[in-house]
Amino acid sequence: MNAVGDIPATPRRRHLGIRSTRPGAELPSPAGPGSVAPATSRAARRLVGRWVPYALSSPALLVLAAIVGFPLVFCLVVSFQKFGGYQLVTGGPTLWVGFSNYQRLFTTDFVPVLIRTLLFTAGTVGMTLIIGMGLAMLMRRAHTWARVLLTVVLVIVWAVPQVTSSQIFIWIFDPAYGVVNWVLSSLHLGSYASLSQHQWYNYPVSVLALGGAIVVWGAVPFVAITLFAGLLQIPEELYEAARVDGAGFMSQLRTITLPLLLPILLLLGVLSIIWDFNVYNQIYVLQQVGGISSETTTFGIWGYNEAFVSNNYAAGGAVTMIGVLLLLLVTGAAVRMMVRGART
Amino acid sequence: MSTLGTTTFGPSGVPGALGEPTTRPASRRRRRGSTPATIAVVVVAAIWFFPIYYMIIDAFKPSYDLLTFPPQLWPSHWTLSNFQQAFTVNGAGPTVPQPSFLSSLFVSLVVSLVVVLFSVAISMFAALAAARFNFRGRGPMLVALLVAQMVPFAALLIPIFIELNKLGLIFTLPALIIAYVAPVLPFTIWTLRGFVAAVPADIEEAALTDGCSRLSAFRKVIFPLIAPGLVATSIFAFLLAWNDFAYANIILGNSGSIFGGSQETATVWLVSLINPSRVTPWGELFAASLIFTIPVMVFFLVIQRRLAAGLTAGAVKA
Repeated sequence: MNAVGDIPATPRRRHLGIRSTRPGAELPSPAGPGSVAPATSRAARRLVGRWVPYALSSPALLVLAAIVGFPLVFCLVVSFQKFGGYQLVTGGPTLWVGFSNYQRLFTTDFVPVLIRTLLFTAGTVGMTLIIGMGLAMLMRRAHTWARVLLTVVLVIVWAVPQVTSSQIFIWIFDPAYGVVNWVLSSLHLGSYASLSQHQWYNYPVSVLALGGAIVVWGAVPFVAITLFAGLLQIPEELYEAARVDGAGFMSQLRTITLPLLLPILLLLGVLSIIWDFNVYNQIYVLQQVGGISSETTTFGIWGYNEAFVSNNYAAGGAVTMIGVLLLLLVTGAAVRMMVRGART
Repeated sequence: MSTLGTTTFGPSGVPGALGEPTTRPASRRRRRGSTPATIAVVVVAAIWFFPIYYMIIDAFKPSYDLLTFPPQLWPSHWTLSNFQQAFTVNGAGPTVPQPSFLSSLFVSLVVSLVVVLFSVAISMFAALAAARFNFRGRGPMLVALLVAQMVPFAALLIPIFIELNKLGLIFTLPALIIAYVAPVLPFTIWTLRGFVAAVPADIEEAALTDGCSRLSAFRKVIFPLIAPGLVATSIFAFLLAWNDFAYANIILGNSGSIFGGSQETATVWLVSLINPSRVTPWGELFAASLIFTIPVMVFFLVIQRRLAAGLTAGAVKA
């Protein structure tokens, strides 16, 4: 493929994520709506020089290289050095320490933090996708006014900053004045209120569960709305035909809904994994209240603490690199599929 | 059929989140809604809305109604004093003066606006190149953009912090702006590329045939058609900066931290109100949160038709 104006032998087809013409082929592809091949227009060939696209894209690409590409490489480099507060302030001499930063991380907190983070991520991503999918399917079947109501609620929830939602949940779970302790006591599910105030923030498991609840609460709107938009594009005829053939709810779900929504589910899954694995704000705010941090630290918090609390930027960099690598392993296959979608 | 927002030109007929898609046979044949599903939807809506409802009413409760048991699900007294005090309350310890809520709002606004203007301006050009030209290096460029999208926002904080420190910019607003452009830019390029690509090339060619220059074809044909997408993209880019806490807390420093720093964003200000060493001023906190959040909610409701499309297109980061 050459420069501007090279017309491919066959006219380029609109790429819509799924290659076949089977129903549902117009679902938004992972590459995004409107991922249309570039217009190799005659006009373009006639009127502009071949330097034009480079001139157009170079400012953005230069900035990206400077603030995304370079920092990533720099982070990797620093993780093999000694880089603490002294080096930060003085710019001090470069000391290469090989893998010793990694070695220390692997022999100290790595295993518990990793297990905690994986459990947390699996729980939140699973809950988010299941609830989001359930809501999308319910919205498809509900009356219009109820669907509009839920959408408005979801959009409002979506707009709430993570910091704010964390603070609201902290107040709702307040030991002395919180709604949750009051409701649990009123239902006689145990003594949570008045004299025996249940301290949700004193137990690592309940802190992480609460953090997970805040994450899921905030993440469901995007997932549900996106899946609902996808569901709307599955023709009702497919379900009618399936019902005629005697397919029940589960087999309709398995043979129609899930396969056709797969591209969207894949994208949502990858994004959710990336977001929840690196979760920071919600847990940080919870730790501010509870004061227990070592037992609730996840990967995002760990790197941050190593760098900015212990002033060990090299160790923080090493945590970051481990995290990026782990995410690449988990999401690599899905990302490759998306990249393929984007290139064609 | 749209309930909120207006029907506008969008990328490949992405359906509105609320309404039915415009040209799909599926919607015409849809059965009438079922009652059990409707009840379930209403129940979920109530559960999901409760935290927001509780924040709103608590912003209007006097403090003696907040610190009471059992909690009041409907305020017995209403007051606006929380909103007044939100502008004077001080979250940091007695020794460190904290910037006022108003000044933190101003910092958030300035930073977010500059991030959006800068990112959208330069990504518009890159999006045009990626969507309208076939050039050597286009493929690798798209891959690089996708990879940049997948880089976790949090992963860049440490190296960017060290670099900004080296440049002597740390604890300044330009530093925070530079730091936010990193996650925003891949998203804006990618999303705008989708919107530009959705404009049929024939329209542009027709304009060129009619004697428009390439530039005026862009200005008179493409630009008006992608304007709604441009707005949605800008709002998302704005929110990424507006809602962020981690970057602002480190790169600007905060009045409670060892790093010092005299300016903070609204999110950092809000978090500093919760302080284990004293009783949290919940009323003021929620009043301030409400002031901070309401504009965003309005934005979201206005552009909601484009939310799903814009986000899956750009794979935005949180």
